[in-house]
Amino acid sequence: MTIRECAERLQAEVVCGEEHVDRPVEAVCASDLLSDVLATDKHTFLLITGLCTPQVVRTAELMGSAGIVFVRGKYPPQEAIGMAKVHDIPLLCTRAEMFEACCLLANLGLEKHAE
Amino acid sequence: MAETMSWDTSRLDRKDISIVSELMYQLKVREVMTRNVCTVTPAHTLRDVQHVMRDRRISGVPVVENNKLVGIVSLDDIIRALDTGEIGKSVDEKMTRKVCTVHDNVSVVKAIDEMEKSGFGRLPVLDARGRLVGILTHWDVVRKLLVMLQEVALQAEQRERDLHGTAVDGSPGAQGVALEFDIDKDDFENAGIASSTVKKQLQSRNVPAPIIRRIAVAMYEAEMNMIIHSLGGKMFVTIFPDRVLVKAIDRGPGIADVELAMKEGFSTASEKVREMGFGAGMGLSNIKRCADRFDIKSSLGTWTELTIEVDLAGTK
Repeated sequence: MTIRECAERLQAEVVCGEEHVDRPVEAVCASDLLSDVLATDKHTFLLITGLCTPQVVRTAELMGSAGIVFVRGKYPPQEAIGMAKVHDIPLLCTRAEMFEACCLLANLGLEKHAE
Repeated sequence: MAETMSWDTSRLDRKDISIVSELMYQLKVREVMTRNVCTVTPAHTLRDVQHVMRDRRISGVPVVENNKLVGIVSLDDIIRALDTGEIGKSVDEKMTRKVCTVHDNVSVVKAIDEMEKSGFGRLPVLDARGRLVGILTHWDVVRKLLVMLQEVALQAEQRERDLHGTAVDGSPGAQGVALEFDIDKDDFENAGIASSTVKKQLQSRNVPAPIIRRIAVAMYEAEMNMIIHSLGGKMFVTIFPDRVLVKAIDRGPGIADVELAMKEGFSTASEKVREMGFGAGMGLSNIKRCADRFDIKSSLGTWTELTIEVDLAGTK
């Protein structure tokens, strides 16, 4: 599974990091609580979140996340986009809600990575 | 003639809206307007105007006589003239004479208000002496705002690169490389800079990624704790050949009950912090989980000191 395939499935707009969308995604971490994200054991995960702050990008950077999906049509602030570019983290925006986004990705076969 | 534009705010969060409205108040019409205005004279025919509109892909043309704005012809006027067979008539006969204008030194917000009140989608812009100096459309405003928003991202990008560029070289001590970071109270903007810098250092030393992640996460949680709860403090990081030692020392309220603070789910964080996705009461236990050795000392009302050690050849 790649970021590109996830983006297509979620009909997501790639806000930045277009050049990294062929990167593999090994797991998904869906949370609005960064504390939970920081505590996950998953690696190379796609972070799905409704939070829209620069701290989301910082958390993803430190966790070595493959990319970030912002749900419910939320658009990341410009500071977050600037940070994501420096750390080569693709940012995606989908109109899907969190649950819907998770279901769509689960159908792609990512559910076996879920805890 | 009316064009309406409504801001689709459903996709913006509060912060984006405040950035946009702040930019719009700062911006003056003269910074946004299109300057090379195509004009016609009253003596031209509507057919001439139609050709101008087609060639220049515009939908409204100001009419100027002796350097003075005397009217405007819109696409609607042209369509109506084609309908009624009056396309050969002069501009003078058919133009709209009562033109709604805006001055070049007013704010874009005022100009947009004017557009909405008048129902006109384009406003000729006049300077202090009443000369036509430009034309303002919704598109001019949107285009400028997009450019300005992009500049915010570029600045953030540059700032992040600068931070990484300057802080990577620690001072080599007797046993290891020492790094020192100031952490300020409520400085959420810089949260994670220390962790990110150390992460980069360790990457350049080819430390395995899972170990780097444990160090980065423990440091980030400690940084966040200081930003949220303390009055500020310092983080001292020493990279030894076999381990990383982090000491986070802050001034502040201290921790009343360390055992309770270590418990998952216990937190004294504010609602604002929780909205940012932190303050779930898992920071300290997560630091402990990531560290090979962990110690916390606190004096109520004075300070808190965290000691975090991670082995570089760890298998945890």
